[in-house]
Amino acid sequence: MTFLVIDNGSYNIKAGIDNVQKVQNCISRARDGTVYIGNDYLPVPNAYSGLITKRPIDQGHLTSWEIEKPIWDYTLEKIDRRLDPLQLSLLLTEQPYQLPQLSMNTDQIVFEEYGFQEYYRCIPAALVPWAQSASISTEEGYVDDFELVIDSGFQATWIVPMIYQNVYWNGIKKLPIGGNLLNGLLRETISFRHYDMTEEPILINTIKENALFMAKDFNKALKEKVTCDFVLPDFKTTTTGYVKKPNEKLPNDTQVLRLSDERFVIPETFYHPERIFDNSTAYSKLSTIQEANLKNITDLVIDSIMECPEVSRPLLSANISLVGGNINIPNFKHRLVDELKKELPSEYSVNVKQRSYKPEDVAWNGGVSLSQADVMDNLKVTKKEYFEHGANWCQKQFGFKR
Amino acid sequence: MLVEEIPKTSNANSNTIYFSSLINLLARPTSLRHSNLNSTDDGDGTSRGSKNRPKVNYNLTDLANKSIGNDSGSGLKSQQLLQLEKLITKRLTELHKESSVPFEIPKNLSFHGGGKAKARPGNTPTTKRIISARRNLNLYFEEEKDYLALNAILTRAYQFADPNDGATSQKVKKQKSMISTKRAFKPKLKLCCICGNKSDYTRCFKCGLFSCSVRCNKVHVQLRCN
Repeated sequence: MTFLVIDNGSYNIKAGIDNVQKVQNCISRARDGTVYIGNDYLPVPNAYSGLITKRPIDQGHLTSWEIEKPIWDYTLEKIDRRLDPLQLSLLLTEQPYQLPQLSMNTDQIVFEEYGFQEYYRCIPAALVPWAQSASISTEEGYVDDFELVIDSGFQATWIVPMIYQNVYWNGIKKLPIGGNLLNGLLRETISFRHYDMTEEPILINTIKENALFMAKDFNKALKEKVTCDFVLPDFKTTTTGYVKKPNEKLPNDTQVLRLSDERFVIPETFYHPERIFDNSTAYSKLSTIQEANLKNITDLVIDSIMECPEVSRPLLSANISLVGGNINIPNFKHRLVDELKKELPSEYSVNVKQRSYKPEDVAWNGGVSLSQADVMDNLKVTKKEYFEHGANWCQKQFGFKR
Repeated sequence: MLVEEIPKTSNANSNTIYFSSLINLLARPTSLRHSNLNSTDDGDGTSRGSKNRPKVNYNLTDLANKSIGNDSGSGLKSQQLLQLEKLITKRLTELHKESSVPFEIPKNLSFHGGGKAKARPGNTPTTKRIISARRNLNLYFEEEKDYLALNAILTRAYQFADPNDGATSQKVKKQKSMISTKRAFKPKLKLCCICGNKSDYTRCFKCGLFSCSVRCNKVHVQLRCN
């Protein structure tokens, strides 16, 4: 049975049988009222400005199947027009600790609406060990036994220890900082310092993806303040905007956004989560906020490692996998390794695994190799079993363990 | 009666559920258990319901905390933590909101691709109900009856927030002593709200925002201070 692997991220759906297809997991409405599904708005640059989006995934929970169903139909069509769910098996991901009711809704849709033959549902981090590391690709079907997965996506950052390919549920930690939150902070900063961009989510996202970086040494970066000029879209020469190259000559009427400390102060939120309350008078007076001790990504990684059995701790710190879109922020890996080395015992080695895949595609690639592995026969649930036992039973097979 | 509900006492939180069990022999103090075992040996059925028998109170939040290895000692969340969680949620929603314009889902939203007409709103009554349910996440959260699962989800969501360091339990402390006995003091990042430079010393006396110089403070009073 052929497996269709869908990594149902809150920003992008990564789906496909042997080639990954990326579809934005949202519907969007342009200023003129046209509604676009998934990537459909991309060829229409005039719609970019003032485009508003609605996502089926709310705070990581897959909430609205009314929106998700058309996007899935669209995705299936993108993969292959002749694709028939009735002839396929499905491997689907969801966030850790999803509300059980919503997971059961998903199972019901998968079997009763689409009618997939076989089905397996898990968290994206559980697929990561199956995506082979580049360095040991010579060994066929090699899977690592210990792995600490840091999955930094659009909604949140999850830290998941994987021991013998099983999720170690006690060690899972969540930091509610993801790409969307960085967008929010960037929007507030730019709207205060430069132009009002409260209704330009696409532009904000483009600026985030192109201009932001993680400071290797924050204090040094704050002194240097490396600036960059972001050319704003004029819808004649550029529709998305871009970072100006050092010697590029621009026409006189070009609007340019000069970014300096915003570029690294906003990603710094991973290490100083209290920054989400900065610059807003509604919170600055409250003592609860001022005295609160918010844990940053390093604290949570260490907490997660320390929750695991003692023998596995050095093995986890030496096998860190970074996945998810935020890893594309320049220097993210460098900085995290630096910070972890400072905090962990000196005899632990801190090592991030090299993979040949893009960070956001790792889980999907892992899903493909898992679907071809023999162990899949024990994991999957068939349509017959589902109709015999029901959705509750399905949730018991796939749901989170406490 | 095997399980009885204990009326909420004044110090109980509204979202805490208590129940007691009269059948769990293991949960009793050992001395009492012996006497009770003897009495059941006599075949006296009435002793099962007698009022002398100790009742065991289970606090579900406590149990849930224990089961996920996050024993916060008191079991009840402090008022301070609840307030902090509320504020964090509020701020996160603010930041996650991508646009202020409301977006109603259009009616009969469906994807008509290729030649095949896929205009079916749902194959079975169940899927029809799921697809047409226009409910937000909060409604689903309110309706969830599995409190242990709910607790696990919410614990994960707020575990990065910690109002005071002293609340960590003995068990966690013991584990942490592997590295250091106490978490090192971490200074907060204090940046000027106008220009973004470091401002370790000055805060606006009215609103509490930081500013780095008299110049920035003047701008701040004009623009942001309210």
